[in-house]
Amino acid sequence: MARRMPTWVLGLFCGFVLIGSGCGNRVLEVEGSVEFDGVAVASGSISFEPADGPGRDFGGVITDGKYKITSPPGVEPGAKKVRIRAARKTGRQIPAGSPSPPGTMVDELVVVPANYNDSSELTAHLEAGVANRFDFKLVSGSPIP
Amino acid sequence: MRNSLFRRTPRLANQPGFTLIELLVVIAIIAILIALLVPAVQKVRESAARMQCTNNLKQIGIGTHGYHDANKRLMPGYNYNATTDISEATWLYFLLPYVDQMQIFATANLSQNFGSLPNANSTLNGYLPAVYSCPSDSMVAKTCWNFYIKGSYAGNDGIGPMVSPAGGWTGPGVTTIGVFMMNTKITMTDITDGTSNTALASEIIKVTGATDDLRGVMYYPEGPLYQHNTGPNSTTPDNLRQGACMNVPEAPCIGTTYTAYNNRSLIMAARSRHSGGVNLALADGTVRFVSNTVALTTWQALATIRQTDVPADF
Repeated sequence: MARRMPTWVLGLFCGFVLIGSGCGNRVLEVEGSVEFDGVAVASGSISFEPADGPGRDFGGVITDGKYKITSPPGVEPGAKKVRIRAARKTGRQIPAGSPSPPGTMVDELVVVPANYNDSSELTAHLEAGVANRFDFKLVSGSPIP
Repeated sequence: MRNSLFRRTPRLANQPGFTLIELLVVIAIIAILIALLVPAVQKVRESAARMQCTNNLKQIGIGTHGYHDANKRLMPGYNYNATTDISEATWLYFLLPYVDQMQIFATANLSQNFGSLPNANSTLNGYLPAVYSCPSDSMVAKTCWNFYIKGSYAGNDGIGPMVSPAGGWTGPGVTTIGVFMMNTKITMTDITDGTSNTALASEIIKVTGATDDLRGVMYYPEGPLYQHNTGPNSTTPDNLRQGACMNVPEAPCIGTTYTAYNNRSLIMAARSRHSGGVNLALADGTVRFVSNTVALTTWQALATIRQTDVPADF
C-alpha cells in the first residue's frame, strides 16, 4: 500500500538541498604574489576588507612571496581594501630588548610603508566562483606606482 | 542448532533467557543512546565553560567600574614614562584589588619594569587568578620566556596598530583611541560615544607550542590589549613581535614586522575557542556574545570612545 510521494514534495526537498548546499557555503578564493623593493616577501600578512558597506574581513599569510587564501563561508564578493604587512631584513642583527632574555638578537627590518596597510590605497575586486589573482609590487618610501 | 541460536523454539518460549539477536539489539540501542548522549554532555560542558568565561568578563567589567568609583578615572592600558614610571604595568594589574586579588597585587614593585624579568615582579607574572582565565581556553600554554603566565582577557586598545610613542596615547602614530591605551587616564564621561556603544574588554586565545607568544600575557603591554582592526576570530593574521609568533589556525599571526618595545606595531584580534564568536564586555558593564560574522564597520565603531559613530545592531 505504498503511496507515491507527490511531485511537489520532492521538488521542495530538492530545493532545500540546493539552498543548503549552494548559497550558504560560498567562499572566495584569491592568490597572487607580493614583492617589496623587487624582492619576494619572505613572510608577511595580507587582508581583504570590504571597501564600503558591511561585511567581514579575511586574510592570510604571505610566504616566500606568495599567498593563497580561501575566505570563510559567507564573505561577499566585491570591492575590497587590501592591507599588506611585511618587512625585509637589512641583514644586520640588533638586540631584541626586553622582555626577551638579555642577549637575544633579532633581524633589523625595513617595514612596508603605511600606504600599503594602515592607510592603504590598495584595492582589489574579488569575484565569486573564480580563482582571483592579484600580484602586488610594493616599494619603500614612495607612493604606489 | 541454528534454530535455537536465532529463534526461541516453542519448547523454550516460557523459559527465562534471551537469544543472541535480542542481546545484539539491546546493545545496539544502548550504543545509539550513548552516541546521542556523549555530544550532549560535551555541549553542556562547553556551555558551562562559556558561562564561566562570560561571568569572568562580567567580574572584570564590575571591577573596572569599582576602580573608576574609587579613583574617579579608569586605569591606564599600561603605564610607561622614561623618567617617572618605567613599570609598563598593565590595566589587568591595576584591576587586581577590585577582583579580590589584593595579595598578589601587593607583591608588585612599580619601580621595576614588568618586562625585564626576573625581578621583584616575577611572582606577580607567574600567578594566574581564576577570574583572568577562561575555561574554554584552558589548554596549558607555554609560560612565555619562563616567567609570563597567560590569561584569556584583553582590553580595548582601539584601532591599531598599537604603538608606544613618548607622548603615550596622544603621541604620534596613535590613530583611533580605545578605552585602554598607553598612559590613558580617561573617565566614563570621556566615552562620549556612550558606554553601551563602546567595547571595554574581550577574549583572546593563548596558544600552545614551542614559540614564546605573548598573546594573553597579563602584565606586559603586548599581551592584555587587543585591537579592532580585524573582526572577532578573523583569519587575518595578528601582527606580533619578531620571534614571538606561534602561528596556529585558530590564532594566525606573523612575527616579522617589528622587533622591540620602541618600534611596536602590534595588532591582536579578539579571539576565543567558543564556536562562532567571542564574548565582549561593553564599557557599561554588560557582556554580549558577538558573532564572527559581525560587520567590520560595526566592530570598529565599538572600538572608538568619541567618534560619534554608533554601532549598528550586533
